[in-house]
Amino acid sequence: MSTSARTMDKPLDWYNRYARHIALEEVGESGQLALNAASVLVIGTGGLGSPVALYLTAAGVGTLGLVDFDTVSLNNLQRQILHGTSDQGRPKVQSAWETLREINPEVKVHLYQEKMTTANALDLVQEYDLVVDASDNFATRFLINDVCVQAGKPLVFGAVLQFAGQVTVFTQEEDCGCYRCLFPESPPPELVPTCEQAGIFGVTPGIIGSLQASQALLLILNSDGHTAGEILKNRLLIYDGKQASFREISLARNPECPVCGNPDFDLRKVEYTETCAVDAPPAVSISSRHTTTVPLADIG
Amino acid sequence: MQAKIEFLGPLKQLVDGQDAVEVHAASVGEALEELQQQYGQLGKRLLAEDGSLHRHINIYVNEEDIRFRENLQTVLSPGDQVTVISAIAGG
Repeated sequence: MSTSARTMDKPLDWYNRYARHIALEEVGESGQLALNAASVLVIGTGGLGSPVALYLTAAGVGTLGLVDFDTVSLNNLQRQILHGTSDQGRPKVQSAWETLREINPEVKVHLYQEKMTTANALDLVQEYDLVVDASDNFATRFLINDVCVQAGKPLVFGAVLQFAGQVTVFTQEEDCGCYRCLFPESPPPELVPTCEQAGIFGVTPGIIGSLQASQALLLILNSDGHTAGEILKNRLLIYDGKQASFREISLARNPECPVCGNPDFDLRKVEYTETCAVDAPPAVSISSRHTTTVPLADIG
Repeated sequence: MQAKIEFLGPLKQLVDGQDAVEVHAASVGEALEELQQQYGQLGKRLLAEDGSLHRHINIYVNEEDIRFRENLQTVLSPGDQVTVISAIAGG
């Protein structure tokens, strides 16, 4: 881009780095500034979280939060492209940050090497504009849904198994359902195999995570008053990698949903096990489980 | 009534990997009963012990979730498109 096209008081490197975004009518300089000012919490830095974090970083999202308690294993590397062979045994969030800072050191990255629990969930999501669910189990997914409903944070959902994927967005608007409107409860553990048991075609989370990243960026770009693109609101996109095909199913809000239909819902009263029923007995009281979340690193 | 039932994602394995199967049934529940005769694992994977639909399984008749209609008693009409999906959690 020539310097004559510069209309804002930004360094030339800024114009160069984001030139292909700025050239888009749907983004432009104002959209890029919106991306630079946005913050996104990505929960999980594995198969889905890798493309999500890579694309959000490359796009210049201002602040990224990465949540993952796990360390890198050799069997992760077939699909978790944030991490490399030499990262085995290291915390995933640390490995992820080192990859991301090489791509775009302007992005501020907060690392949370911990599990998402009822004790830290609200503190975590309240710091961010929107949340991306890149987790890998039902208990965490229901917790993420419930905390996003409670905090009013838009949630970009994605999940994969074998060659299959699902993507949708829960905007927390009055006319949009939540994950529990779609699937009220998780399956009995014996009925649904994990990725470890069932396997996963390595590129599947790459495709679904890329769609999640796209939706997260559109949510940010749409929030400054214009529509850059359509959000998968009340629409479940279903991917079949064996057929190279997508299907879409319309979703409806359940007015009797025990979470988004219940103004008194309190996630601290739910025990997030693999069943995740909302009428489960209360978990340990919040006061005894509360911990203050401290980022491992703030990279400005 | 003749209806086409599509199983998406990993649920295809319940019907030997087929994209869709055809049934003659008056309701969704009858359709599942018919399929259960042919595919032994299908009932346990879709239905709870009390005969209700597992809450991680969704069945849509012409894109409408049967939970918001008559559940397994939802009537099928000729040419109806039935789609079955399951929650998945991998990441």
